[in-house]
Amino acid sequence: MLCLILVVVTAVSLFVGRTSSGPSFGFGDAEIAAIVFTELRLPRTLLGLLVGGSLGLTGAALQGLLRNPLAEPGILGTSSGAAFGAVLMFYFGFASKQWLLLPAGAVTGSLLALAALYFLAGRRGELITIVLAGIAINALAAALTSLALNFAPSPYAALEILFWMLGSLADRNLSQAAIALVLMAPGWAIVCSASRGLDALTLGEETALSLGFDPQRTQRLVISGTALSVGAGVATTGVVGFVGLVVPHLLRRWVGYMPSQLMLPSFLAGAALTLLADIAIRLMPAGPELKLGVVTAIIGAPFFLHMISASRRGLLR
Amino acid sequence: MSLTLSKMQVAINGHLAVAGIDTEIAAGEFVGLVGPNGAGKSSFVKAVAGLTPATGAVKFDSIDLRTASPLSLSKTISYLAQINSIAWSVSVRELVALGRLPYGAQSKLTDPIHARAVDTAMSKTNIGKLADRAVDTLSGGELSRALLARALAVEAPILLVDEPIAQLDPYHQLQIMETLRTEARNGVLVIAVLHDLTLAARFCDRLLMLNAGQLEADGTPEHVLTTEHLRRVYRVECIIDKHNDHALVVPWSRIV
Repeated sequence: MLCLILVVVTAVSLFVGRTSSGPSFGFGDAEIAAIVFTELRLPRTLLGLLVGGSLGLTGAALQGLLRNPLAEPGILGTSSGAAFGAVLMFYFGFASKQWLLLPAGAVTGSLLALAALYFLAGRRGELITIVLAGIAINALAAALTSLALNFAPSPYAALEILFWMLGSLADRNLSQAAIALVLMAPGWAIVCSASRGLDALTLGEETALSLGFDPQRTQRLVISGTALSVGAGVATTGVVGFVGLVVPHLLRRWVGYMPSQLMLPSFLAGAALTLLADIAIRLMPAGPELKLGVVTAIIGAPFFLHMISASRRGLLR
Repeated sequence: MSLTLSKMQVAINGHLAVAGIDTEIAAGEFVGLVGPNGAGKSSFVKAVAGLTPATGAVKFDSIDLRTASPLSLSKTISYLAQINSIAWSVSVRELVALGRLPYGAQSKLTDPIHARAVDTAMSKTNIGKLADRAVDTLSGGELSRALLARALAVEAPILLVDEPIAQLDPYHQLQIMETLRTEARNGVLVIAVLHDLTLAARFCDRLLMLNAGQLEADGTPEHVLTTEHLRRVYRVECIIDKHNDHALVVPWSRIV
């Protein structure tokens, strides 16, 4: 069912485009059709699938790891670390000189954030310490990003940074999608290798250990896989939030509560939801294009508030 | 088949929670681990289960459990923890199926061997009818049976249970104790941490009484549950009587 939805959404995404005068359908004149397809629609669609899938998968894994439906890939601080790494590339003007430097900066930022996480929480870190460390890293990355904006060499550079941080699938090319895939695929594999360990954690760390699954190992796998795949996503599309929070939560009652059952469906649904949000952006009437990160945040943040309120009333399951 | 502990010692933050215990427990024995709060009972079972670092030797027959791989340990010892917060609203069947994880089972239980083990564990604890219920809709008694079924589904030769009846009414206490005794009669080595001394005397073949990490007494319930031991270890005066050859122990007053 999810596969079918994803195929349809992908087809629609390839068909719908946007020009300065609003949405456009099909591929235009024969001579430009191939260019529209390979240069615009295909990279945009592929990146939507890759980034959305990564966010859904890692969201499901992190919620399983932290045994909390309010967890999200962003909480580890790797997204904001990646964003700051990328912002530095913009700040020093490297991004415009060599486009590869942008993903390089973002992945470095995400890995540094991960290193800081391990440093703060320790290798045998308790989950609560990891969450607090994630909050601290997020705060630091946000502060440093603001500093970079504050001292931006020109208003144009500041605007470029700001727009990029809002998160978007527009104007990317196939090479960027390829780089994202090369970095994300090992991240997915690492996260998926932890799936049964996440199931074992359902009954707590001691029971997981007694079932032969070291919770520390499960934790390392999920965190490093997430840093890699989410870092690679931020590197190519900026920060797209809340997909990892919303998707596993929506799916849970349909596909089951065990983390292992939730991971693949969350990947597919994350990809579909991200593409749908991006299609909605392209269908907006003429005017400045909405950024994907803005749309997911506008939908996701109230959803998050609703979840917190439900969790306080003990209704969240 | 027997479990041999030699000089088993557990230190927690420099404090000796278990201070060098030597004992041997045979397969098929139902052993009650008794003693006051802080005596080291939970540390004892966790050390045997390999969940907390311990020194000394823990052997099951000739196998050194201290150096066994986590996987082989998980198939040899099934451990039922004292406090279990269940993260997700899984079904009872999914919960019990977690006991098959050491054997590589997926949560969907596609392999009939695993499905059979889960069914057997659920019928032993009489929760077959609850299979599709979500765990967060169960009563305390139902949940404790589901958790026990999870531990039984491992089908390990050693079963360690930490306070399995602490929060249950008398009916469900008896039900859990009967199930544990049946497991022991079928050849499983069962060690249960217990606070109810009368139920311990009624169901267990043997009691180990811990006090400040030391083994204070070891033997049949009649041998262990004496006025003298209860005074020294629990600091209570008890009324001790007999009913159908089983000791009845009623804590009556504190020794101050």
